[in-house]
Amino acid sequence: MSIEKMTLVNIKGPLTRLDDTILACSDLKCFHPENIALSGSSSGGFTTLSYHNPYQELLQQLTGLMDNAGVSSTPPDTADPPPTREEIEAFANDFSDRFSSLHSQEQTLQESIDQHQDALIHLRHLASLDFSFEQLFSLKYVKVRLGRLPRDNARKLDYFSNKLFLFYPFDEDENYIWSVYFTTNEYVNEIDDIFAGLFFERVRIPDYIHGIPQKALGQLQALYEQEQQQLEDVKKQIEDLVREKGPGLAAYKAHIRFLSSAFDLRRYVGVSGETFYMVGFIPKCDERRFAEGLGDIGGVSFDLLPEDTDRRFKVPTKLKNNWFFRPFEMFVGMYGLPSHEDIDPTPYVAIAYSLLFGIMFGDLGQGLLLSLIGWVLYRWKKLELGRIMERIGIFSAIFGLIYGSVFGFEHALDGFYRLLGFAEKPVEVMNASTINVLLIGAVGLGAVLILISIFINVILGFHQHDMERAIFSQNGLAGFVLYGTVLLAVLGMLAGFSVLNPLTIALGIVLPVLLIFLREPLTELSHGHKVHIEGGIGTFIAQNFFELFEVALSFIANTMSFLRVGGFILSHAGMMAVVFTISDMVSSGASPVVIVLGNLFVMCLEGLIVGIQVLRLQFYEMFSRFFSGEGEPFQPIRVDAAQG
Amino acid sequence: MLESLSSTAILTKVKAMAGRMLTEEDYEQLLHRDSVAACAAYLKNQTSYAVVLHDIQESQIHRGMLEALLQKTLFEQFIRLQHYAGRSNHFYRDSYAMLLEIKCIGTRIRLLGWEGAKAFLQFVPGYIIPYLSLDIEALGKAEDFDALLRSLRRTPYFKVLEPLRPQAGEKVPLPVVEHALYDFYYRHVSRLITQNFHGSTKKELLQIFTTQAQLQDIQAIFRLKSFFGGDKEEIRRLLLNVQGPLPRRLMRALVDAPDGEAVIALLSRSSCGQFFDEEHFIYIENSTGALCHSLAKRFLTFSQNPATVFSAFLVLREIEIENLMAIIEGARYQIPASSIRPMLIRKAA
Repeated sequence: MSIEKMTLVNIKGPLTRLDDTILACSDLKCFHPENIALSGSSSGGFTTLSYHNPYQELLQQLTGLMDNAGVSSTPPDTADPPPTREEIEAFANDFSDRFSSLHSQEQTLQESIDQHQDALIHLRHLASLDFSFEQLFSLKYVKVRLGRLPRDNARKLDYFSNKLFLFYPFDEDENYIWSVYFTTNEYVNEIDDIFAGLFFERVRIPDYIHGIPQKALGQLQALYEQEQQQLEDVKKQIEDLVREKGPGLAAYKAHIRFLSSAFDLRRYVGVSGETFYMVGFIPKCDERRFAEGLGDIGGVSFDLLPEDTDRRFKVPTKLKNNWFFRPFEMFVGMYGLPSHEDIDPTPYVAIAYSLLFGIMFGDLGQGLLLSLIGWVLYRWKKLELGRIMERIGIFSAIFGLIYGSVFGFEHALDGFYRLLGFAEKPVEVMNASTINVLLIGAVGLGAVLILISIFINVILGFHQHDMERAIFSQNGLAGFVLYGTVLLAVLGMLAGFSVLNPLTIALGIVLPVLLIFLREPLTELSHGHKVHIEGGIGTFIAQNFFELFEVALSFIANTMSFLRVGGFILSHAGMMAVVFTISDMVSSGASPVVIVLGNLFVMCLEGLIVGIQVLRLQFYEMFSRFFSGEGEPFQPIRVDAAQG
Repeated sequence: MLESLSSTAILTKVKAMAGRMLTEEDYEQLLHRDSVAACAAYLKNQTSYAVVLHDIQESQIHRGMLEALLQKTLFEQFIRLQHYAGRSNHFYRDSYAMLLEIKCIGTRIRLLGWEGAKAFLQFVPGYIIPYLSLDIEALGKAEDFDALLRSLRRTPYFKVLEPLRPQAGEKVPLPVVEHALYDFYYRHVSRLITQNFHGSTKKELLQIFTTQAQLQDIQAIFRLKSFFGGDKEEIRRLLLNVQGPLPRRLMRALVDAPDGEAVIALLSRSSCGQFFDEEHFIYIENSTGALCHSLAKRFLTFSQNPATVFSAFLVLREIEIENLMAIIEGARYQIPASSIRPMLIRKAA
């Protein structure tokens, strides 16, 4: 339940054993390399290994061919020995020639079809004009340009009012003005240039189009359909080729990718003479495995050093959690990884998420079903969310047991409770007297979670010697004391006792408020700097006053935000009540169907909303108080044999 | 209450929009397109740019038009989002409009005595004209610096540019003019941030804008050192000298460096060294862009302040559009994907 301890590793050996070392590191799956070049000039006089990857071009060719031909990346399973590079090149060239020829035909047809399609669109806009194209384009002294002008640029035409052209719009849509402009032969170049600059798109009426636009439309439509048919034929030939050769292409690409990927890892290598050097991190627990893995490579030696030996390298973060918490690392990762010096918030997330979800979505039957669905999703689709569903489903079932709710049947467990010695179920959600308890309880739980979040921030602040963070900020010790005192005072009011007296007011409210108000100068003082108040005392007071006001508001808003926890308990019960009301209204035969469908509907809708709401509470009300997520993920070296 | 609602709205909207930004897969797909039309088709059919590209004709679209439409996406998203910005609405409007105006003035000065009004008017996107306080027509018609100053008489830029009026027969000192305009811009934006925001929002916004200003200085230093000899005093005069996250000591050392290579060497050993890797250095804008991208990405992911998230999103969107322009230009001139890929600004190399 922490961040994995790391060990810094320096590897060195003869260049002849470099590939073996890289492959061994890759097989071990525990070596996170650092870029030795980043260590700059102080890196001991060695240089990075400059090289030309001999597989890169072939890989690019294969990738390009697969992309262009739309070949699936999954190579077929085969026991054949890998082909030579020359064989692969010959295969790729043959495929490329055949494919290029068909593809070129396809492109020519497609361009022609696109042109017709554009012309058809244009002709439809011109349909209202009742003059023939021959007439229009046979003018001797006047040039005519048909086309469309972007609306944004139409307003700029006014700036060219002193130029000799006549602009006539005849149709318009959301973004373009369909128009024609006329100018004389003498000025045509200048006017064309102006319109080109305004992105006027000319409509080139094809030579084969004659007569009035309406008639031309019919001619063009026929030609368009004929070429569409030809295009279909060519596409079919391409499909046949891809079906025949595609699997081979994918298999060869996977093989070349493996070789290329292994070669590419040389970028992490530094060289001095005939010796190579690599630096990286391994998890401390993998030290022995790593030593055994590299021990067999003759001439290669390595040093295992404490993780903070070389400050130039940022220690990567690998979260280490038990089976229950591990799936929740996904949520932490969505926000950002903690840095190596921080605290891993996963256990806190796991507990708070499961607890809040269980409270908000409490139903024994639905919870167990959710767990089952999660289990199936994980086994079947390897969906990480499935493992989270397994866990939160159990919490949902536990709280369902407390609420006495099984698939919305609110009294199905009454007999069980009586057997346990209760007069009735422990919590009657829809009972008027319970509602207030639920809502206040939800807010109380939220306040506790906020206090825990602030406490974590205080610890981290002290750990990083950041006094503003640890003491003076709203999420520091000052905020903790202020918030805690106010909560105690409110609790006292509800329970009939008072914690407020001059001493608690002075120490629990006034002092923290002053610390937050003066946090900037106090931080500067704590760093031994001279206090500099930007903008003068007046501005400082005004700004910090409003900021303090905002701090107070945010504490209230964040606390009240947890009301939704109580709200969803009621909403769940309310929605199931609606399902049962509808089932009572339909015939007895349809009633079970309504109940089943209603349960599924509520599970999908409310399960999703509650899941998102809890995540929102985690990220906004809790994480934002202590978590910065600036860690670098632990990414072990891997020769990529995967496809894609 | 309304204020906080609109702020929450902007956070949600920005995060939703950011979720629809181009992925690595999109970039790879685009890099393999071999024509402007193919890029346009991909953007139109597979990405969130479909909104502005939905009725283009891919086979006919001009590269300039495609780029203009992509720029328009950024502008339209800005306009849509700033409505939700509540009381900080005018900060965005003022700072963004000022940046657009400065770019317009800079372009007009660059084109003085060259292609004149036509080229300038073609440069100014039609959709921004209603949002500018400039008289675009008068600015377009200005054929010399005096006429340009007259067209700007009623704007704040007059006072900035007036002292830079060249003597008769002298050329307009473009780097000096651009420096004066951007200096004015960053001072103005810093003032707006200080007046309108406080606490972590102020701190984060200042970090975004001052970083941008410092990166602009780094670009200027590198270019002047690499291509123009780089007289220290002249370089100092052309710097914005904004106090930002990069220490003054480093900025001074960069000015004192003998050449461009030494500038990169110094930067590679600084706290932002990962963005200025000597071995894999491509060009300065790529490195400064990567730093800016990283900062904006961090704020977009972790900041809880709507104003910061909004600004970070705009930075990322602008970088994305610059990447797209590089890809489109590469497709237009048939440059292989392997040459364009390293030029894209995505994250630190």
